[in-house]
This record gives sequence, C-alpha cells and structure tokens, in this order.
Amino acid sequence: MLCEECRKNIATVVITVLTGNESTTRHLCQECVEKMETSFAKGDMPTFLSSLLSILSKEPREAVVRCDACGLSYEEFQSTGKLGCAHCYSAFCDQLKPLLLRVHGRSQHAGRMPANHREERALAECLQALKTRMEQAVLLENFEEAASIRDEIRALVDKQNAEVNPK
Amino acid sequence: MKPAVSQGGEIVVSSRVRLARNYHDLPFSNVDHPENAQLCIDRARQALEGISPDDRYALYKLREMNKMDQLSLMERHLISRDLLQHSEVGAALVRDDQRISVMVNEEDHLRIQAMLNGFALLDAAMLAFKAEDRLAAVCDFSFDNQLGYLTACPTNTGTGMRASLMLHLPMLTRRKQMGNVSQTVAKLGLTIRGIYGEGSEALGDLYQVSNQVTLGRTENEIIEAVMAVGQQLIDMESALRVRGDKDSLDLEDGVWRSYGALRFARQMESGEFMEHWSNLRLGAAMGILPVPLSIVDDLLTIAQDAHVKKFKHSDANLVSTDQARCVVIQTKLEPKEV
Repeated sequence: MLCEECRKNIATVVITVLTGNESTTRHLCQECVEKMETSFAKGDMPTFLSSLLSILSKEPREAVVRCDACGLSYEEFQSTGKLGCAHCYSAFCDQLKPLLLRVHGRSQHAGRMPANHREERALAECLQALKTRMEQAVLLENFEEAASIRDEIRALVDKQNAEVNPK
Repeated sequence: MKPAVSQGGEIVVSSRVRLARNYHDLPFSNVDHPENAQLCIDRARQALEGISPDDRYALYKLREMNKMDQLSLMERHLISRDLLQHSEVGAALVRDDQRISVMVNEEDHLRIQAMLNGFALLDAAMLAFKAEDRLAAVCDFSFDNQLGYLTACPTNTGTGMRASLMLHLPMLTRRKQMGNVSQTVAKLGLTIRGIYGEGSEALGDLYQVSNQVTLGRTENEIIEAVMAVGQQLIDMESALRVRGDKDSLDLEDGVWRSYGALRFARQMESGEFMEHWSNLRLGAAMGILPVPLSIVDDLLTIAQDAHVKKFKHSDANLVSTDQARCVVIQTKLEPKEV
C-alpha cells in the first residue's frame, strides 16, 4: 500500500488516532513519519500541525474525488483535460482554483454575462454602494441619513427576496 | 527608399472571434449522448432561424457528409479540426455570407465564430455577440458569477473568447525573427500558431495571433491586446517590405518567379503551392504583381487539397490532384479581358 501522505513510498507505519469513540487509521511511510517527528522536535509547529491534521482528516487522501452530477473523477479530468459538466467546477473547486489562477493569472470573471446575471450583479453593486454610504454616515454621526439609507437597503433586499421566492 | 503601403489588409488576411458556450442543463460532451447532441443542434437551429434573406444559415451535419466536403469546410475555416474528430455528433450552422458559423457539439456545445477579411477584429466581435444573444434567447448558458462562462476545458473559462488575427509575415520569417516574436507575444498572454490553429504549421508564412488568457479580462481588453500586438507585427513586417534597396531585386525576382510558376506550371503539390502563394501575396500587397489581394486570398482556400480534389472529380480529363490544382490556380489568375 502506498503512503497516504506522499503517495510515493510504500507505507510501513500504521498510525491509529483515537478521538472520543472514533478511531482513524492511516498508513504512512518512514520518511513522512520522520518528517513529522523532525518538525515537532524543531518546533516547526505549522508543518507538524498540517501533517497531524492530514492524518486526522476524515477523508483519506486517496479517496477519489468525483463529480456527483456526471461521475467524472478528477484523475480522469487530469488525463483528458476536459471537464464533464458545469457541476465539475464546484466538485473539483479546490483543485481547479490554483489551476485556473496559473493559466489565467486571475480568478474573477470580467466581461459579458447573461442578461439575468447582469441584473443580479447591478443589484449587488447598488447594495454595496449603499452599505458604504451608510457606514460613512454612521462614522460622521449623521444618524438620520444612516437610518434612511438602511431603509433603502431593506427595501432593495425585500425586492430581491420577492423576486427569488415569488408568492 | 520607402516602405510599401501596408495598412491592415496587406498583412492581416483575416480577423476572427470565437465564443465557447454550453447549455446550462446538459453535460459538456455529447459524444456518448446522441439525443443531447441532437437537442443542441435543434436549439441552435431554432435560435438562428432566418429573419431576413441575408440572415440565412445552412446546417451541415458532419456524419451526413463525405470526408472531402467535411475537409473543405475546414479549409474555409468554417469548422475546426477538432469538430472533425467529433464527426458522429458534430454539426455546423453557417450563415450564407460565411461570416458567421456556429459549430455544434465540438468540445463545447457551441463554438460561435465570426470571421472577416482584413484587420477588423472589433466588427467580428460584434457579429459574434449578436449571434450569441440570439442563441442565448432559446436556452441559458452555463455561467458562474466568479468564473464566468463555464467550458469543457478550463483554458477557455471566463469569457470563452478567442480573438485571433491571421497575419502574412513573409519578411519577418525570412529574416528569422519569428522565434523572437513568439517569445515576446507569449509574455503578453498571447500566442502564435500556424494556419489551422493549435499544433499546425505556419504554411505560406501565415500565422495566427490570439489570446491565451480568457478569465479576468473583459472581451474589450482581450481584443485590444490582440490588436495592439497585431499592429506591432504589421509595423515590423511593413518596415521590412522595402523597395528600391539592394535586396529588393532578389525579392522581386522571387515574386515574379512564383507568379510564373503559378501561371504556367502543369502540376504542383500543396507544399510548393503554399511557398509560391506566399510570394504571390507579398508581390500583390507591395504592388509588384498585377493581381488583386482578394484573388490571392481566394486561392488560399480554393487551391487547398479538399477543394482541388472535389474539382478533379468534376473533370474526367484531369489525371492528378496536383494537375487539378494548377487548373484552379490558372483559371483564377488568368488576366481578364476588359
């Protein structure tokens, strides 16, 4: 069996961690165990804690990450370079984020959007602007203006909720 | 010693914008889902149903076409090489004027493409966006507020847009400057490829400059970046297209020799044709040869293999494809009587 930490060497050490009534068993190689011990001995707490957390994590690292909607695994995506469906973007979110950043250098879309998203975005921007104005009014102790902006915000939020959940 | 006239069309053969889009309710690949593939074709066809006579689209289903007809669509740049890989489910809707084509069931459900002659990237983008609006009216596309349009390959995520210019750069190629140019262009988030896109050769000294990055930049920013690099390449190429210096006799000699070969040869294979074609275009653009650029650019399509083979089938007297190519070229280049 391969080491669950580095997934390169053969696992020769079995570590069982008891938490309350639950036990978690992990198979590690000598090298990874030594790394953990060294980081603890050197007082390198971040490295030690991350190793420990990885052992404690409920999901073993070798578990195959799959998209619930189309069934594609991340490994299959890695071999073809093609995602199976729109849901793959959320299923593989942790893996895709750094990949997208590496390819594009940015992670927030700019540019065209479908008409329904345009309205949503405009409303969100409007709400953000009102909140900023309200905070400034509070800082200047202009409470009357702050209260009126607060009412404006409430009205907008109510309108937004009514559109999302029509009666 | 003056640089020859060289604004846009003399160097930029065509401008192209393509948008990758997927319907929100279907998995990306339709290769194993013929019923979804048909649904995508039906939706696209319904969306583009002609309103006026100059806005009619023809539907080409690849599996109903022979290989030669499929390849000739690729030679016209109306479909990609990748669509040919998906020929069981792939289709294309092509507007009658061939300025807009929509590939259906390629890597993404839709690849909306607008292509214009010369340096006209903004106009091409406008055409593509108009077609996109009509397609989106029938069914929503996959879209995420943070990541933008969701595509099968993460390299297209965001705008899903590829803006490209096809440039004819014979002088830069001869002076062996294309290696440096590629490196500089890569630093700007753009890329240079051959005539048929990714992985293809720069036949005929033709290069496609396009954006690599699609996420985090607006369509305008992408178009401006491609146009800025395009303009720089136009300026660099123009500066080398000089007449009247000691090298120009060699240049003119090469151009006329190619013209002679194209007018009078009896058989010509495609690699040799592309070499002469490059000289022909250079000669026409610099005013050395009495040939309009529009004819030169037509030749680029109609003298390619699939077109020529189709022509050969129509004439029993032609014994080879390379002979047929010469007939096609010479019919086009023959001086017209006034």
